[in-house]
Amino acid sequence: MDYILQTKNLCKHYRHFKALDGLSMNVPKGAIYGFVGRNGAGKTTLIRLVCGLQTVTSGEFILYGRKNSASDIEKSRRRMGAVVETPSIYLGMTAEDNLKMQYRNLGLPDFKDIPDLLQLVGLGNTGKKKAKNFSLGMRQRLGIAVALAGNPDFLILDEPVNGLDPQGIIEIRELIIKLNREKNITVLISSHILDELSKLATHYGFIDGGVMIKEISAEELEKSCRKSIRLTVSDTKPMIKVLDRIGLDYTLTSDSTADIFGQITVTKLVNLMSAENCEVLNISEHEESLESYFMNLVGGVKNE
Amino acid sequence: MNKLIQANFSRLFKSTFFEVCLIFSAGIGILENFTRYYEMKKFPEYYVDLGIEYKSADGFAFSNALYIVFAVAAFTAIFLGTDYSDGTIRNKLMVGSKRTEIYLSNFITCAVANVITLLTSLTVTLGLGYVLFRTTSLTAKQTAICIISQCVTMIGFSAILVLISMLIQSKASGAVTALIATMILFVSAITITADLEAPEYYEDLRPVASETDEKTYTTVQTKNPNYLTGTKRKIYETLNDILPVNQFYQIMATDTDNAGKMAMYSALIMILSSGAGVVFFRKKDLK
Repeated sequence: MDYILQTKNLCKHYRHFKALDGLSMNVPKGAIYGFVGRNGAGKTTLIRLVCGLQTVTSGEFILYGRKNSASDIEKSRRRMGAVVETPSIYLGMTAEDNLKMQYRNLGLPDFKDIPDLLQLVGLGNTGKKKAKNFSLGMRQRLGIAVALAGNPDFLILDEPVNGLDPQGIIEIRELIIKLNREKNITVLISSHILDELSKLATHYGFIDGGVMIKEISAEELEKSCRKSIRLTVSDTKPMIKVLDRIGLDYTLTSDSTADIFGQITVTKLVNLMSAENCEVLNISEHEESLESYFMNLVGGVKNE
Repeated sequence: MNKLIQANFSRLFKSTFFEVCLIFSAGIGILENFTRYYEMKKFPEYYVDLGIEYKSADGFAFSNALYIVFAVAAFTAIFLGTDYSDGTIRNKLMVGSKRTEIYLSNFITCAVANVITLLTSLTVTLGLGYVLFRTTSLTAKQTAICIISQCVTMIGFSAILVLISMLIQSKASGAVTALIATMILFVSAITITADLEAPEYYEDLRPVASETDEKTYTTVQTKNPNYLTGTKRKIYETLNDILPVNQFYQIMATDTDNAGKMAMYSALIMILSSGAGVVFFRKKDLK
């Protein structure tokens, strides 16, 4: 698999505080990578390191095949855009002037793409209105437009929906999906709004205390989180025999419980178990949300 | 680095604060000229015995820099601080610009902006002054040396302001620090100049014993105990040549004997401030 960004044992210490403590992560090309963690988990620190705002204490990251210690790491950074925490825009300028400034920073020869870019982020009609008079959502979209100047193929968004109203959240979500699908831009989004993230992420990385707890694809996560019937029995051997016989998909979760996927008739299942001398102690419907999955992880094993 | 300089200049010429600085510096020139012209016309008798500098276009043109230093200090801190407060410095770093390039492009932009501010004041003062007073006290060569010296000093002073503004991430704190630093330099300039210009002897009036009741006095040359001598004087003289506001003071008095030395010290200030600034800025963790 091609990776845009990889980190290996990345550490960032602020005096005695370890913001990142050996973080290893892999962002596949073409993904919308949801970077999930609590406040202070180290999400923004990682983004600051990748963007070159801060220096690495130890470990390394590889961006487009270049190590962070490479003298030409700037060449890799030219292929990415980012919105870190708050949108980086001149509040005293219009949307168009902000983009012109970024085009000049990039050394782009002309401004002919700017109207299209403004249209893409839904700011085509802002005219002479200064950014300080924009709503939070408009500023966020302008920040994304600035990050998109120079046609990057990797976009880093740090908490892009923080503080937005529902309409603003939907607009940003649709924009991210559009950029990923139509322009094939790989997106790394850090967030702690899990419900929102689950609507667009193709891959997840769960971070806590500066450590990557788990990386998982959306597909795998869906499998882990899908609806099931949790069965608690006296003996799992006869239960496995019965489940295999009737062809049900299941996962053993302990030496007495199993999660069964698919439609079942409870009476029929209990009768079959009973015929195999297996006592059914408890039956409950079980569905793990991304939220509960995350909470289990955070409270669970590290560096899986 | 050229693209960063171009971007900075495009922002500079859109900056309202820069416009305010230019208006302020031009305003000082206009105010100084009209005040002096008005007083000269209203009280001509006072001006009869005064030197030519009081009645000429360039008499006080070079003193404007002492006010302008405060305006450029505030401008530099606000112009560079905006990149921190609006977070736009991140945009430069994230598109692969090197920190050294960012620092130096900011220094070049601010130095040019501050020199433009100074030249605006000089142009208005000298131009309007010539229209009003129709005479000059300096030769063209002396005027040129004073203008060039002030510009070189302003570049050195800008290097100090850029160092402060680039290393303090808060716009407000940066502006306050830059203004306090300017005030310290200003007070130092007044103190050092006063100490250096203090006479070695002063005339003391002493009563003389008289046979009559009428009191008579005689003047006695008394050694000034605060007169600077030896190493201390040399240190003060060196500081007077090094510190930017002291340099402005010297040029204000159209004392251009040290112009070459002062230019050299300004170049040294520029190199040391920018060198230190680049080193610290490269190591700085940005938010």
